[in-house]
Amino acid sequence: MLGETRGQFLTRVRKALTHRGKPVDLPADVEIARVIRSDEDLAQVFMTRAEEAKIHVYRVADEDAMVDKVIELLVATRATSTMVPVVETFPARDRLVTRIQEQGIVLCDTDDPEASFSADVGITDVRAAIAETGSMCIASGGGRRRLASLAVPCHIAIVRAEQIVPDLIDWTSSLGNDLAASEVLVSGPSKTADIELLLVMGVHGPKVEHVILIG
Amino acid sequence: MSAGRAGQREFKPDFKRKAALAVHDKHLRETFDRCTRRQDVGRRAALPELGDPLAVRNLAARIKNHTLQNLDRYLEQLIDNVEKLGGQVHFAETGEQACAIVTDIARRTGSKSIVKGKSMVSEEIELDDALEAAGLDVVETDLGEYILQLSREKPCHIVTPAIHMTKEGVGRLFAEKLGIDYTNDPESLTAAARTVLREKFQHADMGMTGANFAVAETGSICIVTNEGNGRFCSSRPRVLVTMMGIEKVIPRMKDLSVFLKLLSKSATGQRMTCYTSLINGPKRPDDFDGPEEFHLVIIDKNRTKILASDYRETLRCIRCGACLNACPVYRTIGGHTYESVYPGPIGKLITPMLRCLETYEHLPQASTLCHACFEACPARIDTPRMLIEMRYELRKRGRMPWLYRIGFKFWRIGMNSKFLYHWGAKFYHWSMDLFAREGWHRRLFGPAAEWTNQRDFPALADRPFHDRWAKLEAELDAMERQTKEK
Repeated sequence: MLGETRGQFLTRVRKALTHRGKPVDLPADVEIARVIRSDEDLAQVFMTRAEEAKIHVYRVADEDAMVDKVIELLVATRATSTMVPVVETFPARDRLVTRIQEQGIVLCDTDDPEASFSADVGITDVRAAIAETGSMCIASGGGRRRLASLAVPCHIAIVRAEQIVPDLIDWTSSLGNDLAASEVLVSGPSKTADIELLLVMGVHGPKVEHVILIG
Repeated sequence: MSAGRAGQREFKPDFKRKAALAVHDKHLRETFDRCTRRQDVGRRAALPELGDPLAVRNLAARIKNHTLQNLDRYLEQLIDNVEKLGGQVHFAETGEQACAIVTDIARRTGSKSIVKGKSMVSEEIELDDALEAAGLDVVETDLGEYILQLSREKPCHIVTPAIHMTKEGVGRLFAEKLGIDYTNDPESLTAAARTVLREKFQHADMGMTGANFAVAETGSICIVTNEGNGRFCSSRPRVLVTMMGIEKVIPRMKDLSVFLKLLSKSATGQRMTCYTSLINGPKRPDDFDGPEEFHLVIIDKNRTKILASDYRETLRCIRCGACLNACPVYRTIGGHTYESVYPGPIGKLITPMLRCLETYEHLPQASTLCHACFEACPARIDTPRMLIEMRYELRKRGRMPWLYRIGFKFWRIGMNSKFLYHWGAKFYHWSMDLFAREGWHRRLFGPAAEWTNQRDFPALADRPFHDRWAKLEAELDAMERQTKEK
């Protein structure tokens, strides 16, 4: 056995706590840190803040309009290939797939682990969106490929208005015990400022982030 | 790199000389000044969004205090939950143990190539050297850390590790090491690194990350990156190893929201970092991708020593670098002068604790105690108070320079006697006046020369404050009476 056993390790931690000090309670709630309340116009707050984080947001009325918008974006970025997760709950998936194929755009096989490295655009649904930070929460599992929103140069996320929660506090409390193996908050395109603090977009993840907000 | 880093063990820091060199390096000083000020301004602009930032910082401090006080309990809960999710947990008391554990995981899983996300604890234990020595191909994937790996340098800042380098320097480095045409355009340089690292990501067997937070109640590991490298390391390779110090654990998911709100705003002035990943064990049966094996290595490396000491508060640190950006000393001398993985105010405190107080005895002294770090800290760590405590501890261990000891002895005698204070001040005033020219001392002697070697020292006022106080007090009283009457 390399290193220590759990018992040895925890015993040492316990020994270090011989003098714990005056007990400090764990605060029951963290509401004092709340930034966005639930009675605000969440869609509007989300859009404003996502745009501030350099995410392109388009609000559409319904699923049909969403499909139109996706095709428009694919054409505009001159995409030749794209990925759509095989998820039943994906908004208007069949219509979207048909339209993509009509455009002559290759729909990559989600089973192929290398596809995300070659696809031009990755399209995903989200588990939730957060108004406070303009973030989308993307979970793994159920036919979703993690790299489809990461290895591609351009990512389109489909968000329904009712999926928006006000604050990070609400997001963490909504997760409960139903966590996917990977839950990622995307709050902007991949970027770095490691060279002289000069901002460069698109390091390892997508350079361009689009969100289509339905409703 | 291995020789340089291994040599660190018996090294004697050369703080004074390095600081003097850094102060005279105009370019370096300007770079650090510009970068730290920009991030400091960003932090100040971002925090007010929280409504009452001070209350939120106090909340964060309280959550951490509670957690540290019950660390054994929360660590147990974390370990149980990580194992429930299918992860394997390892325990290392020392850096050597941690390196051996990671090397062994690589060997058992047949991993040859490793992609690594930014991790401060891995810098502490010099993991890259250990892995390279074991014949493994390990590459840093954070752009800043990748630059440092190529230039064989150590990080100079906790968050932006390569800010000491110019774009021209990076251009020359990449031209030499990656064989690209020289350019000083950050965008092209980033693109060049992206190409190399993407290939590495695609073919790596093992991914390695640090942890920003570990949530005890769910067994979730949270990593935060802007580039997406942390996400890549934890999504693509078939083995994932995450390293964390014991202090990274927090009790509940809702506590995570508090720290996420504070972390990016304090670090870079962003409302939110681009990618916040929660890793909840290895991939599941219905997952397309993700690691087949997930290992969590929990590292002590003298942290229990800090936990048992009067410096427990320092374990509240979330490594945002805000105190570095706010520190006038750090701004002037830069990160490398500290010769420690953790520079700046927090580094002055924890380096002597994590390594050896006697070796780093100069660090607690290298502070003006201006409190800028305390004002900036999202976890409200009272760095100045503890620096003073550490100085006191050094004195008790007999590590105070003789001049200080004698100086303070006289000081105490003088300050305890009205007669001595009065006449001492008069003598001091008179003697200092002898050397001043046009209101400035150009050159002082003895230990005072250290000041005038760098800058002039202002002459004393014509009349000491003490002599002016009687009149000032009367004026102040009159003013106060007037305000009251109004």
